Amino acid sequence: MDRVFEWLFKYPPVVFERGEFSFAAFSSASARAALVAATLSGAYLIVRRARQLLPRRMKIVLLGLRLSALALLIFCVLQPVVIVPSIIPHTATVAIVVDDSLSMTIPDVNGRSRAEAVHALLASEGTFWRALTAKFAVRVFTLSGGELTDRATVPRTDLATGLERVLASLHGESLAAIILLSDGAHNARRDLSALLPTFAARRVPIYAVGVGQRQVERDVELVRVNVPRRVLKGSSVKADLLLRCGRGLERRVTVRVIEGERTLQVKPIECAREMGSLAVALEFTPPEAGVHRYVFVIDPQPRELIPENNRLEAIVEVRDEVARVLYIEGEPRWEYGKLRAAVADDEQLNLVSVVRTARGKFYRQGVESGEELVQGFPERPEELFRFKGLILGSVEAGFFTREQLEWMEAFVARRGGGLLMLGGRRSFSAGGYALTPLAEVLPVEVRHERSEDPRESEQEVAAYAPMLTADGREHPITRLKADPAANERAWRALPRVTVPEVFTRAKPGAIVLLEGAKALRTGVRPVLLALHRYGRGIGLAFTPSDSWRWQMEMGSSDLSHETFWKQMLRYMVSFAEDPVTVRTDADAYEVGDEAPLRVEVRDELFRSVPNAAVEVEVTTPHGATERVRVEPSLESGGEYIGALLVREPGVYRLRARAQRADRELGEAEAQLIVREPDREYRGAGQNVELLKWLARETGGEYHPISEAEALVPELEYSAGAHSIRVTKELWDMPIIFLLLVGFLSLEWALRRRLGEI
Amino acid sequence: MRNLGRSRHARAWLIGGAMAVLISGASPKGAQPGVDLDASSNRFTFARIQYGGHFSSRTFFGAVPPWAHDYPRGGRHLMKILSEVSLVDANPDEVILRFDDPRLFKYPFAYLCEVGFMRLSDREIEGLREYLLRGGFLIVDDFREEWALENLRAHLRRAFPELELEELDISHPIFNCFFNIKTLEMTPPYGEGTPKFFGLSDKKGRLMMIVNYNNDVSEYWEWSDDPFAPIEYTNEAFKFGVNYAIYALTH
Repeated sequence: MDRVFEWLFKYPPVVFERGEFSFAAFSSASARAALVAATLSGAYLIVRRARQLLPRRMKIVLLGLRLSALALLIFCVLQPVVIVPSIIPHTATVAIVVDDSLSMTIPDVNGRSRAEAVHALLASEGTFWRALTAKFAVRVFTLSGGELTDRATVPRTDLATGLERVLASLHGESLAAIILLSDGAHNARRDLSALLPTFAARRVPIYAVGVGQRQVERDVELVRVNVPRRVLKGSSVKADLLLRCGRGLERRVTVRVIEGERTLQVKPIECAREMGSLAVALEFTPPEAGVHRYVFVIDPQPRELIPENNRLEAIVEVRDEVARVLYIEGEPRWEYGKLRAAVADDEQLNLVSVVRTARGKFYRQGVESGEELVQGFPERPEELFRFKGLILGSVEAGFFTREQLEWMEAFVARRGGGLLMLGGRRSFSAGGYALTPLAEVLPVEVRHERSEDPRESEQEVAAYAPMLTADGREHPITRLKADPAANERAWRALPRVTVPEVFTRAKPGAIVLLEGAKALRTGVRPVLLALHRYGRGIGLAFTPSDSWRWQMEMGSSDLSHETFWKQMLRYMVSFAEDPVTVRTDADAYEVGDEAPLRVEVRDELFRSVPNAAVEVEVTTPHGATERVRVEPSLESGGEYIGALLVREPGVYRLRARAQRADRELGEAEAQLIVREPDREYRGAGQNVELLKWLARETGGEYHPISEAEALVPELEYSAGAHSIRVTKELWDMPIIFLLLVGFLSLEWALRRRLGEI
Repeated sequence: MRNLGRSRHARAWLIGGAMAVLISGASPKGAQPGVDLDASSNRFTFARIQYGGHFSSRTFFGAVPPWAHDYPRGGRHLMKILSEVSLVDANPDEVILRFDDPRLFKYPFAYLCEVGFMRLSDREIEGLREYLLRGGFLIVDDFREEWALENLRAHLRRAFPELELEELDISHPIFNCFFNIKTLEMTPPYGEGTPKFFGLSDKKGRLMMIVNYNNDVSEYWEWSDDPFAPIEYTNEAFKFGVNYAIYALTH
């Protein structure tokens, strides 16, 4: 199209876009106007006198054609020109910067790799190269600073460093522009936005030439794997995978979970017909405690372009520890005993319980000593914070002191514990929790007065069949069976439960996992199980008072009741951490990365300790140990930060130790996995937005590689330190001659038809 | 102090009284009309087990089926006391169900008496097994002599061939989970045998059933509102009953 334009108008479009239009002759505007008026008047008179007998409409047409022809002649007589900035040939340098990272080896440019396509563009016999070198001195660089070849090998794309290096190496030369040939896969940590003003200030525009498909079609990518960092022994691990399915491959793909030499699970997945993302959940139970390293793999397909992005690794620490959960029950009732029985054989849970059997009389179970919980509740916050979970049964708020209620709030918010309230005669609103600190912790709105919502104020104590919500189908608490359909069936088979207080909705941000299937007269389904994050911990509400029916009214071989409560307790303790923790920002890194370390130090009441002595020892995959220095964070008290440069693939083990004034505050361990660099193959489609942004911010333009030749005139006619203003004559444009001939020919043909010739 | 257990006169008097209650009032032929089983199961409810058998010759009185002895005052008085001394939401209305009735699973606390006369069908045996394995708790009371115990054992062998009745001693938590019962040497309301307490526990050690052999604890509950009933024995009997309930609720 541009070639046609250039043939008709003599110059490429960019000349007209960037130039200023003017006339060289009759520079006075009044003189031009007089010339035009005289010419047109004369023409009108001639036509009018000559064709008195013609119909009026035909006269207008003939007049229009004649006037058009005259206007073109006048246009030429006025000597039209366009004044445009133009680079002085061979006085300026253009730097070509070629991306030589690994992603350029992806063969998605008409069967060639991206690097090969770039190589072909820069071939000395090619039109692009010839056109460019005809005007400019051309220098070629690579992003990494290495030699230019058609085989990219650099494991990282660092646009900022590469462009900065080019700018520095051409310092003092008359650099007109930079042409960046890249797929835009910037994956280094350096921020580009800080660099771009330098280019703009030096008036060096970046012309970005994009290489590669925007979304690689013949590829299936394992984008992400999310697993819990640590679980209790016996807990199942749910791995959430995100796949990106391409086009032109088999729709059926196979996902595998491998540990060492052993394949734990094989799951066939059906991709959608169109390209897009697909979430997949896998579940498995580690048999032993310890650090487990899992490999998740999508089987590569024969025609797949990037098999390198089919694999990810993850680490799960399986802890063989016993989590203590405190259960306070305000009255002897079936829910209490059956809940205890349900979790009794779980070796990782220690349910310590107190049931108020009579006024001032408590029956304690699972306590460690005769003195523990003798008053029915921990007497000091430290005692409460030794637990990781807290269950409040049918016990009114007045049973606790204000201080104890505040401890419980801090237990969740600061310690990261889980607090679960069960439905009952004395819980939620009936228990008077509305004006206590626990009202905020609970995921449902506890009422102080009778609800204004008639659907809730009916207080219809009725039985409801439990029904999974969309969130409940995916949640580990409510997964009675691994297979989603079987899980749905298992929940449908459970008997109805009684809800003493109806909540028609949870708080904003809370998740409802179970709701009652029997609608009220108003059609609202009551919340049966809801949860939300509160501070570091979690608040849960289980509104039925008789889940024991799931035990008594189901067959003795049915384990739904036991499974539900074990999963509930395991989940609610999973947020509670030790006073000292060490972690990295991500679970996995690549060789050469710098992993930020964060150590958090808290005391026995889980208050931040800002002045601790903290040591971090790192054991590399090859067994070498090294110390990493951590310093107090300026942003958060009690947090100590440092960085670890990872140099080898494998599992790094971190061990942090905190002391204060010769007093041991605690120790913590963590692991992180380091893999060989493969970042270049992830999300490997051309990042068009980034390239456009680069060009826009520096005054350049973006073109896909197929239109790279359009760059040359854009560069030639660009304003800058090395350009001058040139005048281009327009009177001899072919379009004018063609139009003139056209107008006159048409007039002649009409006149002949009317019999005037 | 009058010894009810060893007084034939008193025994006849008590039984006569019980019969009078049965004849005059309740109709122990099944779950009572008007009792909403779903609603009543939200409270702690005393479920009496009904069974079949030949009651003509060896029952106490042919007009009263043996499973109905002490009904309804025994259970009602125990529930009353339970409400008074503890925070248990006890239901004064007793329900009567058979082992093969699926509604029994709504009531994890059941009472069975005069097991010497009990004849359970295979379905009832299966119901008994399921009831206890799911978490139900059963009191076996008001029977005596070896032949009656052997009849119970025979039924239990059909239901739980892998389990055996074991005699309990005072250290068992059921005797101190609410009241600290000092001794198991109890004076029965009547009969010649020495009372013993047997238990049937599941593989995890949970006591599923307590057996008051050579004893009739419910008899004391039943006559607790009678001014002639000795209060010391009645008190002790209620301690056992309350502890049974608390144990069932907490284990």
